[in-house]
Amino acid sequence: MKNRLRVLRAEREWSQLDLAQRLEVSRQSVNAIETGKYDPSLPLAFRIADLFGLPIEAIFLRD
Amino acid sequence: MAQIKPAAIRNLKRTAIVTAVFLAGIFAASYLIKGQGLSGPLAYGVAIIPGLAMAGLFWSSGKAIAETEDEFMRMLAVRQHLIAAGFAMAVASAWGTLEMFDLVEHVGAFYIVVLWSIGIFVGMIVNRITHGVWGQCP
Repeated sequence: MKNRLRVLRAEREWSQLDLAQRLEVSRQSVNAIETGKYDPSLPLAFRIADLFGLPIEAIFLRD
Repeated sequence: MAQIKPAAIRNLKRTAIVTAVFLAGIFAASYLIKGQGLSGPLAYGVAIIPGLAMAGLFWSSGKAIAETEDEFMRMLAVRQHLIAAGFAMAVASAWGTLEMFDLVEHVGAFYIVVLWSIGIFVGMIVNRITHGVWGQCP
């Protein structure tokens, strides 16, 4: 599944570690999600959406 | 410096305890059964202590997975343990069939734990290749 996480993070000038701390996950998790190696669970996807103030479908895109 | 997570510290403590029980059990069984000629039900009771300690190691390992809050790291740990179990069973099965036809020496069943431990490191390597992260060191 594709996502816009890297773009949204860059717009806010957050590092992967900044985002990881805000989401209370590891930096490796953020990297894995950004690179498409890992699709987050629905609860984590909602946390990401809430953090950016966007609906899930505006962040995670169908292949 | 990377901070060690409380779950990892708890797992280290559990692992240290089961390892201590394992070693104490091995020494006790060796001394009492082989040295003092202990036999009967008590010998079984003493000899099973190291085996139960190893069972504790697997329990500790499973509990560590359950206590891992980061879902990505938990997924890596599950993959690692599945690979370890598969590796241990595959090697044990292959060795067992070779042994059945007297092509290799007999090896004690408890060596499956050693194979599983090797499999944990194989799992770490697989995680590094597929997901770019080693995962958790047991």
